[in-house]
Amino acid sequence: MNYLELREIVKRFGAVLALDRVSLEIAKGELVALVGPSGCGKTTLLRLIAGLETPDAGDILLAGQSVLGVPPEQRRVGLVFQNYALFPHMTVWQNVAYGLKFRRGEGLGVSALLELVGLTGLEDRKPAELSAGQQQRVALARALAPNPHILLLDEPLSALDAQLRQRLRTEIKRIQRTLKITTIYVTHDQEEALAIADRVAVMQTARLEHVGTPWEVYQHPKTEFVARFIGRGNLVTARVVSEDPQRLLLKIGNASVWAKRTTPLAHTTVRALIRPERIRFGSSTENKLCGRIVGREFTGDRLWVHLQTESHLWVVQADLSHNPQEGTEVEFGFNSEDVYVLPDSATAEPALDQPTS
Amino acid sequence: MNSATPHPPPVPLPSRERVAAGRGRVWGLVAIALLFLILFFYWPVARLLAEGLTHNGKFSLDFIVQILTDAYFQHVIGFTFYQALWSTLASIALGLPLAYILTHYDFPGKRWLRAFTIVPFVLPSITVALGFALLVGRRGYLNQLLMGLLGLNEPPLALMYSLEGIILAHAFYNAPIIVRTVHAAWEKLDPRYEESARVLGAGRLAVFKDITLPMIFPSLLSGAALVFIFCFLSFPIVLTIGGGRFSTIEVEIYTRVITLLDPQLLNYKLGAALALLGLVISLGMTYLYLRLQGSLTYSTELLRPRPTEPLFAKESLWRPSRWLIGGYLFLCALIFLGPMLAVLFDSFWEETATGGGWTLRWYSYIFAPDYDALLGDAPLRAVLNSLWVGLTAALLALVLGLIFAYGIARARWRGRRALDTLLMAPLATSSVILAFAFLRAFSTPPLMLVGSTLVVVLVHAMIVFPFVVRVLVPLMEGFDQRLSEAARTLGASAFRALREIELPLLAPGVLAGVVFAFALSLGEMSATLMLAPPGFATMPISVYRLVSQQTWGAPSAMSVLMIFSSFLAFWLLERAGERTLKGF
Repeated sequence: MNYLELREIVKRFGAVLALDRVSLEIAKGELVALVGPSGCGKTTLLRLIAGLETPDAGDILLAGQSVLGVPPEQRRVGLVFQNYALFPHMTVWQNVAYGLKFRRGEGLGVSALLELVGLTGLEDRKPAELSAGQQQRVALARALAPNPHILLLDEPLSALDAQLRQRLRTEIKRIQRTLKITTIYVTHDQEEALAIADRVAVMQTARLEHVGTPWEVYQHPKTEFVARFIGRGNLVTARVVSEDPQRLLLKIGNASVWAKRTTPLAHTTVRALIRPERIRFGSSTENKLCGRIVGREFTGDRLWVHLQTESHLWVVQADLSHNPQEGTEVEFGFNSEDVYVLPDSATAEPALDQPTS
Repeated sequence: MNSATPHPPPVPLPSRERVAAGRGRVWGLVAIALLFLILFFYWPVARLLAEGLTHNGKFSLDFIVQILTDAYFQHVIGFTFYQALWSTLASIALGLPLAYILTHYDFPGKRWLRAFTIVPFVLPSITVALGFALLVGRRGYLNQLLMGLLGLNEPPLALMYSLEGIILAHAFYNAPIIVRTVHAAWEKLDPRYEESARVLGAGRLAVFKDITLPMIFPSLLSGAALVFIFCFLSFPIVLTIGGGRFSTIEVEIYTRVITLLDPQLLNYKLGAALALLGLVISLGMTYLYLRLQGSLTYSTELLRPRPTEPLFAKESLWRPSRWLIGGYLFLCALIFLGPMLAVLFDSFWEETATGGGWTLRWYSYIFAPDYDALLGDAPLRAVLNSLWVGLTAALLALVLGLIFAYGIARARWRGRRALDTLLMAPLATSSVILAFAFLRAFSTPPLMLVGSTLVVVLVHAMIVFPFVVRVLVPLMEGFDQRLSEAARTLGASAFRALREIELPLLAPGVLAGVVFAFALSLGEMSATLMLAPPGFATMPISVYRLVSQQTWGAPSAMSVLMIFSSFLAFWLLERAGERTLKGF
């Protein structure tokens, strides 16, 4: 059952279309990550839900009731801004307690909240006297204090360094689970979105492209944009040479490649996605290719290898026990079920056959 | 590798001495400027204050005590505070709504209105006084209009020679300062603070009370402190609009100094004691103002600009609030443009027995080379005097200002504090007190300057240069140091990097500084009135003398010339960019 429902939302700013018929349904207690490049309309969508903007068309329903006419102070939405917007003239305690002034008896206790976010003892500090991570926690506690129906987080971790970001996203998820609060989490970091969300909604230029579990969005992206935006991958143009009920025979450059058959195909030219971790060195796989190693990126836990075949540049996540050297010719390949043929390729923009990163 | 290739000769490293010499040249300039500041500011002012604290060569608080216990002086000091306080409140009442409107709405002419708020800094106050006299004097245009409309026999507005008149003129003059400071802070207030509060359950009123007001309050207070200082030290307006009836500390000092009949020099002594008190008060206020200005930390670089909405749109055209705002804007235009339009009209109008008619008489008068006893100089010479004094004083102030601004912007923490503090006193000292100090210090050898025109140039330069510093410091601080550093790594000395990289890039700001200094000097009246040698007049002095003789037309023509120059200055400042006047 849907707790928050967005129906065909349209929002324009002057000539700019910020949201184009966006529909989204969120269950109670669910955490949905809204992900997309900057300027795609994520923040606008949050502001509409919070009541800070009014949609030009469409409806927003909370527990089945439209909230369009409800001013922001009565929507009971908790909003954590990018850069937090903590009131600089108030202490930590005053910041967190501010929303309770207007909801006597309904909110959560300030000290319990500060304990939940791990800030006990810093009650009398001013925001300027806190580290960025602490400010982030205050912002979260402040938003949660009036016991909102929905929690909206607008790029809550973008101002922090990478290590702190990872730690805090785990913590945000823990708090969200503890309070069982329906949450929309906006981020431009696809990895963060996959890690934290029950479902991921991918946006591009005012439209929702794909909504699904992290697994679906990564393995079976609905559009080429989603395939490129989420994770790394080898996105190639292929010609369908022949097909049987289970499999397709594709021609990628000069190489023949078997792929698992998914959706019915309308065209003989398709776009196929092969994730780098599915590619293996050696000749043990169904499909075999040959290429020269032209680059390596070692990131500690992973080794990325760039392979040049006669038609394409491939990115491969190599087994760490191998240590392939630059300049060597290698055999590599993948199985037919690891080739994902994108649906509806005709609508996809003609793109360069390059690995995405 | 070819072993025959000779190694490049080692790069000569700049020795410690050379680096120090580069810095030394810059700081040598600062030292010279400091000497100048001491000779033409600190020494004369200190001498004057010492006069108020000595009796027959010994330290004595007699004169201070005499002033503090005398009922008349108590009244003067009390009135100075009283009028400044009311003038400040009136400026806030007039300016705050305008700051709100500028922050929240768009309307045609907004850019110009916003730019116009700089005008009071450059508009000579004697022209404002004249405009008010023409508009609300007994025979003023407004009174004539009201008498005609309402069929009255007596003028309904009695604002000339009244406290209300002084307050109104001060509000006209200073409300733009409130608009400027508050609007600047409000515009930079991140709207997400207010949005956060809304989402947390606060209604519009609670948001304003809890969030907006506390966050713009420091800037309001800072603007109000500046306005208070200006009103506290206001001289031409109190003298002209107050007439003989109202005396502030400034007017009192002036009156005592020009009344030289006292054989005991008692007036000097009391004047000096009064100057000491006045200086202490204005220094305190200036300190408060500068502190407040330094503490305005709530403004941030915004991720997105504050949203504004059109004031006049089809959907909202019939909302009463919009009509209220429109009416208020119209009233503002009337109050701010009225006096200037009155001056413009009067400069082209001649009253005759049968009514009146258009004329160019007044303009031909101000360009007449013949001596006029009313002015104490030929009108044309007064115009030319103003121009050359303004130019020389502006250049002198620019040189001083550049050196000090550089010192402040580049010095390390302690040096900066020291320079900042040293420059506070010149900013807080009124022209009347400075001129008084000059009179006492430079009337005897070795520096017999009083009686020459040089002393006028010097006093103008000293009055104007702190403002130049305040224009230049933010510009220099905003300058990207990496450009200079790049020049240094390419081999330029500190001095050359300053001369060849930094100064050329700061050129528009430097130009703005000169223009600003020139405009301020052009309008300077108080010190000039006290120090001008016999037979020497400037434009503001001419206007003042003509107005005190109840002569119209000619002073208006001269004022139009000054207002025109001020607008030219204002236009140049606007072109030099918004940053130029960040210091105010």
